[in-house]
Amino acid sequence: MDDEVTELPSYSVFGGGGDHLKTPTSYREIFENALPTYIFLGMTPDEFWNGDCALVSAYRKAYEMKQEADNTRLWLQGAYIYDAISRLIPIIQPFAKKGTKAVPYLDKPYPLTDKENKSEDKKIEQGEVKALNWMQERMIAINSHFNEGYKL
Amino acid sequence: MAKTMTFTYDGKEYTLEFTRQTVIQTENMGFDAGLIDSKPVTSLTILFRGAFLAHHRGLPISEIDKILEGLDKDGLLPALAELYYEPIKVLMEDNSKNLVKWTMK
Repeated sequence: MDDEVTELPSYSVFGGGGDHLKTPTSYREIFENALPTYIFLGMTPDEFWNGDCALVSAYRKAYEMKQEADNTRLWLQGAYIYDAISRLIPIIQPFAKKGTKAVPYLDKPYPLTDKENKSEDKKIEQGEVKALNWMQERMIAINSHFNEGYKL
Repeated sequence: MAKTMTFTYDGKEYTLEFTRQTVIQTENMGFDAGLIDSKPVTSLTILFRGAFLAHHRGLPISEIDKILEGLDKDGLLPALAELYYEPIKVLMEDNSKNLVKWTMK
């Protein structure tokens, strides 16, 4: 599966592979041992052999970042599944009353970026202000009604 | 970015660097890291020739040797050796994350 989080295949700079009697290998062998790992990370053979030698660090870091992103995505997927099941609980519990409905599924995805979060906060804030204004108007109306009553 | 060495010789700018390919080519030219101490002059010459392969491939060896003659050689061999080890060093750094750390006192 493409999305699967996999462990980075390792290689030994000094040959290794359990053969402890093996003498350190030539640079050619060391590079050839490492090449499949970096091809796996997305590096082209030309970049590996002829490109900036420090590129390998960037590819490894990029792979770690991708793994973190994949992990977050999988976690998020779990959160959506958990959320969806939680919303079904009212109808799947054994003693649910007749006519009970499931809580509707989210109408939009969870906000993930700062921008989305801010926009969400702003909407909540606007909703709160609107509710407060509505309550204040109601209070004024009720108070004025009572005041009129006292006048009588 | 990989380490490079730059200098201007006879009005032309040169950049010396080693890639993994040119490290192997330098090895094939006869460079042996184990012989740096016992054969410093030979090592310097081969290493210097090899350092041109990445950016100035095709430059005649006679021309490279002429440049070497005119270059300040103080600290040149360790500097070239550092360039030479860079492609292997970055691979080892990547491999050393899970290894046992050691200290020297």
